[in-house]
Amino acid sequence: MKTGKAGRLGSLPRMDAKGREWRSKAGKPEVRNAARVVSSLWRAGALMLAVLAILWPQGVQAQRYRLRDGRVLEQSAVVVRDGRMVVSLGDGQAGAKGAEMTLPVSLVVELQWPEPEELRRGRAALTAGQAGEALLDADAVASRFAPFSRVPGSWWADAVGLQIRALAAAGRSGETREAAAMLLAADPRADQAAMVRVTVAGIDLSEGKTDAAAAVLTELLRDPVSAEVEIEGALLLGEVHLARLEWEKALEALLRIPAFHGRRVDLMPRVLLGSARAYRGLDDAGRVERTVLELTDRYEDSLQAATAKKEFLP
Amino acid sequence: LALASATHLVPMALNSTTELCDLTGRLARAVCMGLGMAGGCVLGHAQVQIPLVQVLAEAETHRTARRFAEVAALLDRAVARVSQGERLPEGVDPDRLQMAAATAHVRTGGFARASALAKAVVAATKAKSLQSEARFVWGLALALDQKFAEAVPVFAELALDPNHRDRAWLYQAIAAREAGQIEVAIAAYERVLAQAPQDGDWADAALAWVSLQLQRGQLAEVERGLVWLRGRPEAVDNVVGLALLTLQAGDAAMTAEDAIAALAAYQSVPSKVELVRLHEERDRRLEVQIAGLRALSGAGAADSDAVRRLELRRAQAKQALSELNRSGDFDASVLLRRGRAFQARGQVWEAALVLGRLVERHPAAAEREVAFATLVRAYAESGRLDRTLETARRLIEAYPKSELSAQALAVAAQAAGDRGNRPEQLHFLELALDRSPPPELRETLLLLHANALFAAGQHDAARTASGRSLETFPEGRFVEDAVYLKTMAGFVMGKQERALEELAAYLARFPGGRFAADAGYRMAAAEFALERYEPASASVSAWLEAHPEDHAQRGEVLSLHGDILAARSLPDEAIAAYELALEHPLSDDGRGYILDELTRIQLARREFEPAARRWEAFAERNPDHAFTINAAYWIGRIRTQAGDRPAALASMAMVARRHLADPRKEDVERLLLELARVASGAVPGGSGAGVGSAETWLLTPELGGVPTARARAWFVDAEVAALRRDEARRDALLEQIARTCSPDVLPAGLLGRLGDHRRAAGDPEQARVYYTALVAAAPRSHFADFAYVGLGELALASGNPSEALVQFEAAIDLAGARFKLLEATLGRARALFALERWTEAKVLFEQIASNRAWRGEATARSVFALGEILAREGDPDALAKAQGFYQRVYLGYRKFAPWVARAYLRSGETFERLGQRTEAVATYRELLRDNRLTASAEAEVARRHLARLEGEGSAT
Repeated sequence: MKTGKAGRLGSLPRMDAKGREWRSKAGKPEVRNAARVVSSLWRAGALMLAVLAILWPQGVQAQRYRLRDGRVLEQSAVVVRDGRMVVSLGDGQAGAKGAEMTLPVSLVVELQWPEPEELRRGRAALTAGQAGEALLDADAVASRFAPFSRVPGSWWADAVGLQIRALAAAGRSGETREAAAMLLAADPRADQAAMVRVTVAGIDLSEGKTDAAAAVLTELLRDPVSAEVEIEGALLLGEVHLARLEWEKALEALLRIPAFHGRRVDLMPRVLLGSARAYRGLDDAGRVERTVLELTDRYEDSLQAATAKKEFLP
Repeated sequence: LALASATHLVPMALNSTTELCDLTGRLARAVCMGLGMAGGCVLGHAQVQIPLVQVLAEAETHRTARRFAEVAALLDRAVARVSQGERLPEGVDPDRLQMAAATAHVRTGGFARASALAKAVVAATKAKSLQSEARFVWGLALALDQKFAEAVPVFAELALDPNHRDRAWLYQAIAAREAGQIEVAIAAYERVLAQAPQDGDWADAALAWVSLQLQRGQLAEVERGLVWLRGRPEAVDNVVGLALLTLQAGDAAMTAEDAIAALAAYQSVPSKVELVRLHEERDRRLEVQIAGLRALSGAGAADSDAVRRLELRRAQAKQALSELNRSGDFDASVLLRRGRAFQARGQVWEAALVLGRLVERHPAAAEREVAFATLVRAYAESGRLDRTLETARRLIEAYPKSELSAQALAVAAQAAGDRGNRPEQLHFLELALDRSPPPELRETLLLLHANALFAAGQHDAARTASGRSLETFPEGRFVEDAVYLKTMAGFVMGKQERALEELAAYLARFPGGRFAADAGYRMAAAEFALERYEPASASVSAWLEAHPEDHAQRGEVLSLHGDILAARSLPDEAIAAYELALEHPLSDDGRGYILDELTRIQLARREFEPAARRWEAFAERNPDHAFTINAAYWIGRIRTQAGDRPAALASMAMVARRHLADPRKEDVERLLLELARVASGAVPGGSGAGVGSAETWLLTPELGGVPTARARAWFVDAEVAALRRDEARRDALLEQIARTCSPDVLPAGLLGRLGDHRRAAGDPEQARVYYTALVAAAPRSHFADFAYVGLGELALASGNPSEALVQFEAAIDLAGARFKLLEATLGRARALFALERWTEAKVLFEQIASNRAWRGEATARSVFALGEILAREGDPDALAKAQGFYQRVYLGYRKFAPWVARAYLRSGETFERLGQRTEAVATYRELLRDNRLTASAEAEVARRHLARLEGEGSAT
C-alpha cells in the first residue's frame, strides 16, 4: 500500500450505509463540501492533508471509530446522521466549515470509547431509586450508540440494559419486556443477557408468575455468573421462593449475599427481613429472633427494620 | 511477604547509591568545566602524579559506564591524596568528595568503608543538607552490612531533618524490624502512616505494620490496619500480598476464636481471577509509572530513587503472585476458611452455602474432603436432614478412606436421631462403626448405636448392642451408661423379674451412680407392674425418704405412688398423692396424666364440683399452658354433665377471653371449638337449647371493639350453626367475618376456615389470599395444614400437579396434618396419579382404602383410582383386577353417587375391553336404572355405548 495520500484514501471501502458500493456517476467515491460538492476525490487532494491527521491509527484514550481497513476517525471529526457518518475534512472539527465526506456506519468495526458519563450517572440514579433520571441517561446513550449497536466497544447494549432495569423499576412492565426482547435478540454479552433475564424475572414476580421467574433464576444461578448477576438474581430468587412459601430455597438464595458478597452491607436489610420470614416458615424461632435483632439493631433506620418491628416484635 | 527483608533494603540502598553517583558525576563535570578542560587532562610531571582533576574526570567516565569499583578506587585515591594535604580543584568540597566515595562503595558492596566515609562526613560537615545525605548513606551502609541495630539511631537522627523525614522513618522502621526492635519499627511505621501521603509507599508501610502487629498477636490493630488499606485500595499495588496477609490475619483471628474478625478478613479477599486481574492492572500501572519516570529527560536523583522503589514493589507483587500460584486452589482455600468462620459464628446456613460451592465447583481441591465433612455438620446444624445424609454418603463415596468419615457419619446419625428417623440413624451409626474409627470415637459410637436401637423400640437389639459395648470397652468411659441402658432395655421389654435383678445389680455396682435415683424408681415401678403393691409402696416410701424434696423425679415417684394407692382402692390417698405430685416439677405428659387420673377418679365418685374447680384453677394459674385446652374441654364436660351449661360456658369463656384479642394465640381456636360444642349441646348430657350469640356471652364491651375478638365470636356462632347442620347460617357468619376483617387481624384457625369457605364457594383467588396469609404468618400453626391442603387443591384444580404435590407434602411434613391428614394424603395420591407416578400413587390409595377411620367418599375415590391404575396396564389379568375395584365402588359405596356413576361406566368399558359384551350391556343398564345417576355425564356416555352395542347386536 502506498503511504501517500492517494494510496490511503484509495484504500477506503466504498460502501453506503446499506452496504452497497457508493460511487459518484463517474464511478469515484463521493466527497462533499459544506459549500459545494466535489465530485472527484482526486480534486479534493488539498483537503486530504488535513484529514490525514484523523485517519491515521492512534492511541485508545479518546473517542474514536476504527474502520474496517484499520484506520481510525476521531469522534470530534464525525457526525452520525441518518445512519451515515459525515466526516469533516476541514480543520478536523465536525460541523466546521469545510469539506465533508460521508461514510456508511457499516464500515466501523470497533469503537474505542470510554464509558459514557451518562451510564455511570444513570446507574447511580437507579440505585438511588430515581428510575426516571436513569431512564433519561440510558436513553441518551442508547440513541447515540444505536447505529453501532453490534459493533465491539459500543455502549449500546449496556445502555439498553440500564434502560430495561429503569423501565422495570418504574413499573413499565410491557415496555420492559419489549426492550428485553430487543436486547436479547441483539446477541449481547452473556452477563448482559443474564442481567436482562433477571430483570424480566422481576417483572414476572411482580405479576405473580412465580413459576416462570423461579425457573429462569434457578437456571441462571446454577453456574458461575458475574457478581452483579448473582446478587440481583439471588435477591429476586429469594423473594420468588418466599412468595411460593418455599422457605429453605428462599434462604439458600438470600443468604448467597452474606455468604459470597459479604461487603454488600447495603443489601443486608433486604436479606435479613427475607431470612427472618423464611426462618419463621421453618419454625426456627432462635434464628428468627437473632435475625430480627440484627436487622433492627444494625440497620435500625432501614425500611425493612420498621417492617420487621411491626411484623415480628410484640 | 518479605516486606522488611534484607532484599528490601538492598534496592533502596542502590537507589541512593545511584543518586550519589549522579552527584559525583556532576561534581566531576563541574570540576572539569571549571578548569576549562572538559574531557581533557593535565600534563603530568616527570614523576607521574595524575592530577586530581583528571582522576575525578576518569571517575566520572567510569561512573557513566557503570564501573563502580573503578569509581570507588579512584575516589578513594583522591580522598587519600586530599587527606595528605593535596588541594582539591577550586569549587570542589572535600566532604562532597568523601560522600561520593562513600556512595560508590555502597554500590560495590564495600559497606564498612562506605559507612566510615559517610560517618566522617556527618562529623565534619557544617552543611545541614550534606550532613543529612551523609547520614542517609551511613544508615544505608550499616543496614546493608547487616548492622541493623546500628542503623536504627542513624535513621532516627536523619528523621529530624524535615526534608528526609518520611524516608528516614520508613528506613528506620525497616532496619528496626530487621534488628528485632519490633516496638521501634511499629512506632516508626506509625509515624509514616500518620504523616506521609497515602501513596504506594504508605501502602507498603501499612502492609509491613499490619504484618508486625500480626506477629505481636495484636489482632485489633491488625484489623485496624487492614481497614486502612481497604479504605485506600488504589494505593495498594501489591494486591496479592494484601490478600495473603489478610488471610493470615483471618487465620490468627480464628485461632483466637474471634470468628467475626476472621470472617471480615476472609470476606475481603477477592477471588483468584479478580486478584490476578487487579495484579495485572496494577502491574501495568507500575510499568507505565516507571517508564514515565525513566523517560523524563535529565532525571534527577529523586526520580531515580522512585524508579527503584517502584521496581522493588513490582517485584514484590510478582513474588506474591507466584506464592498465590503455588498455593494450590486458592479460591477453595478461601471458601473453606469462610465456611469454617461462618460455622464458628453459628451461621450454619451461610456455612453450608459456602462449603457447598467449594464441594461442587472445586472437585480437585485438596480442601474438598474437609469441606465435605464440615458441610455434613453445617447441614445437620441447620436442620436439613436429607442434605446431611446425602452429603455424608457423598463423602464416603468420594473419599472411601477418609479419616474424617467416621466423625461425619456420626454427625449424620445424630441428625437423623434428632429428627426421629431411627432407621437412618442406625444405618449411619453402622456405617461409622464399619470405618474403623479411633477407639475413643468407637466407644461413643457403640453406645450411641445401643441408644438408637433402644429409641427405635428394638429393645432386644439394644441389650445386645450394650453388651457389645461392654465387651469391647469393659473399662471404658461409658460402662455405667451401657450397663444401665442394657437394664432399661430389659425393663421396657416387660421382663420385670429380670429387670429387678439387673436394677439391683446396677445399684450394687454403682451405688452412687448417675442413674441410682432412677433405678430406685424403676424398681418400684417394676414391683407395681408385677402387681406387688406392698413392696412397690415400700420402694416408693424408701425412695421418698432417701431423696431430697426438690429432687427432679419426686413428682414422678409421687405419681407412681398415686397409681399404687388407686390400684389398692384407696382413692382418697391416691388423690392426695396425685395432688402432692402436682406440686413438683413434671413433664407435660406426666402432669396431664395425673390431671386426667384425678378427674377420672372424681367423676367416678360424681365429685363434679372439685373436679371442675381443679381444671379452672389450673387454667387460671397456667393461662399459656398446653393443657389449658384440656382444661376447657374438661370444664365443659364436667359442668355440662353436672347440668350447669351456663356455668360451663361462663367458665370456659373466662379462660378463652384472656387471649381472644390476640390473633397470634391460636390455641384460642381449639378452645372456641370446645365452646361451640358445649353451646350447641353437642356434648354428653348437653342441651340443644339456644344460648344466644357468642357476642353476648363471650365478649366483654372492650373485646367487642376488637376485630379479632369479634371475628372469633362469630366463628363460635358459625361452628354452633355447623354442629346444628344450619349450613346457611354458618356460611353467612363466615361471610360476615370475611367481609369485615382483613386477613392480618385474623388468627390462623380462622384463615384456614375462611380459605376453605371461599374455595368451596368457587372463589379460588380469595381462598389463596387466606391460605397464603396463614402460611406466611404462621407456617407451623396447628392449622397450617388447612392452608397447605387448600393450596394443593388450588394447584390441582389449575392443572399443576407438581405444585400440588409439594403443598400436600408440606401439609404432612411441615404442618403435621393435624386436621387434614386424610385430605393431604388423598391429595398426594391424586397429585401422584396426575403425574403418572403410578406405583407411588397406588401405595397411597391402598393406604387410604384400607384405613377404617377414613371410610367414606375418600375410600370410594381411592378404590376407583386403584381400578384406574390397573386398567391402564391393559392386559386381561390387570383388567379383571380393575373390574374388581370398580365393582367394589358401585356395590360397597352406593352413597357416593358420582363415584358410583364413574365406576359403572368404567366397569362397562372394561367388560368391553375384555370382550364380555353381555356383561358390559348389563352394567350400562344398571347405571341407567339408578335414578340418581340418569342425569350424569357418565349416564350420557353409557347411553351412547349401549346404543352402539345394541346396534351391533341387531346387525349380527
